[in-house]
Amino acid sequence: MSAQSPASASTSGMESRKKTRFLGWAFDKPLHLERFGMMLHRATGLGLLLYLVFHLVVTNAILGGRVFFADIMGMLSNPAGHIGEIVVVGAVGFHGINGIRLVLIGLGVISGRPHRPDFPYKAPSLNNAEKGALWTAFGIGVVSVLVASFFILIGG
Amino acid sequence: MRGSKLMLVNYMCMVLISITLFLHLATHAFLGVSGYGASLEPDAVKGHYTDTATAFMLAVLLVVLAFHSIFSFKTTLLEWRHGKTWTKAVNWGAIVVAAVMVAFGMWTIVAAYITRW
Repeated sequence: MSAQSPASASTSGMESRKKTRFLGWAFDKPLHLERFGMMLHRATGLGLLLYLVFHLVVTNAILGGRVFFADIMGMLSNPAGHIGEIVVVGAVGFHGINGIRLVLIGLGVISGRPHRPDFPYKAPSLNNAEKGALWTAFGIGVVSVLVASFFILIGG
Repeated sequence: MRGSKLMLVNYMCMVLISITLFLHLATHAFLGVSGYGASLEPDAVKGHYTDTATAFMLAVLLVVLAFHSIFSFKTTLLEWRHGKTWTKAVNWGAIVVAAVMVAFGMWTIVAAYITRW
């Protein structure tokens, strides 16, 4: 067993608390449906931000002329590129509908106004309206993937 | 500007994104094009920029997307860590990144609008 000074033990304790804080919002127990929805919302948001930067750079190739732009599009037109585009549209579908759900919760439309907790305690979050909205967001995400697959793989 | 007002602007951006992004995706799927592949042909893409209404729509989409994405990312970063220096750095960083994104995108839109092949 290795000896550990109180100072280093305290430092490692702080580091572990920092690590917990960094991902605490995502992996804190219990991992219920709303937390999963929040994780997915942030993951899709970050992914879409990165895609937006990539998209701005790619579309700038139009200034290089017809041949240059066709070359860039040719490089991106492959199965992996098409799957990436379909994932992007699915992420847009989920992120958009879940964003509307979060706004409605923020405005107190579907979760109700805060009130004094009286016994028997009942969590106001994740009521049927919120659950329904979250499942709708998941469903729209799947439908977006299907519609994008149709237009990109079949209809193109 | 106060945070609550910025959040209201963010909500308005979300509404505008819903409309303009739907139109943008439609112009690559079924609106005025025969298919997705055809919509990515150089002349078809150039046509999006030389058409005034479409170019304006793309400009609006660019501005509201840049605001919404950077504002939301800034909010996430400020939830993650706290502190005066961190907050100041994130706020200024967000302004700079959003400005660069809008400037770069506007350069593409305006230059493609005025140049002819």
